[in-house]
Amino acid sequence: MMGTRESLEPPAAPPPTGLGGHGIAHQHALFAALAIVFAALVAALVLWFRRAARASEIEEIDRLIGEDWRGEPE
Amino acid sequence: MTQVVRLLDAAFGRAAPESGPGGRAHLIAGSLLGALALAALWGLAAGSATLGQSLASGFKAPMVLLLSALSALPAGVLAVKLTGAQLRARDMVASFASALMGGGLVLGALAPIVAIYFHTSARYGIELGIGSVFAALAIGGLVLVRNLRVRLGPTGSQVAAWVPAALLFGLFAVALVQFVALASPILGGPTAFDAGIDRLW
Repeated sequence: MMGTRESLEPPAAPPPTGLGGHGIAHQHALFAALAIVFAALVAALVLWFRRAARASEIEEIDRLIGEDWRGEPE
Repeated sequence: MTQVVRLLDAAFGRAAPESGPGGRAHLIAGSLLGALALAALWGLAAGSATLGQSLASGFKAPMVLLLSALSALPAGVLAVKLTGAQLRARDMVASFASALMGGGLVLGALAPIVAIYFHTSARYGIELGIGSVFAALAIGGLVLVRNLRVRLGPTGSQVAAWVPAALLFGLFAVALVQFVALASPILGGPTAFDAGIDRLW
């Protein structure tokens, strides 16, 4: 029994797949895109936090002025 | 300092008294940033096998947390509307942000234990890392329900707090599984969560 050249060669390993059967490259690209989105979200969150801190301080001052002026809490 | 106390009060399930829009936005943004910082601390500890892995996990853990939260939030807000709960969308967002902070506090508190176990135990290091995430999820879920109940007040239906909270929590967990798989490895070794829901279920 002589096998053909093809049958003697080990079968080629299937290409590695990423999540959901997509290629590894697809997974890496998705991760990179999400990492960029995350970085942008964090930057936006920091800016929002700083603006909100200022707004919160102003609200607190307004509340205190209102208390003094009216003589009772709002 | 007062703001930190407010953040922690909300994260412990004692929702802050109603403040103005600025105060509420400050609470939400502060809670989210606090949760991200604590998740990064946990990531640094959980990936501390090598310096590169540690830095990568310190980036990946907060990324997974924030993206999962943002993926689940729209459905949670929709659930509030559909259940007819006497809640506003901003109540749900503020409660969820505080819940993330509560879960982040658990991760941050357990980070030193995770790190020391990872370096000294071949058997329990990974398991403890996964266990700390489940503990954070449990505490976060508890904080979410407590905050929603406080915001509903004594006259609101308690079911109205449970349904959106359960949906939001469930969707957050479902999203978390896939984002963890996408970002893996986060822990310093293989876990059952590396291949996502396809291999987990």
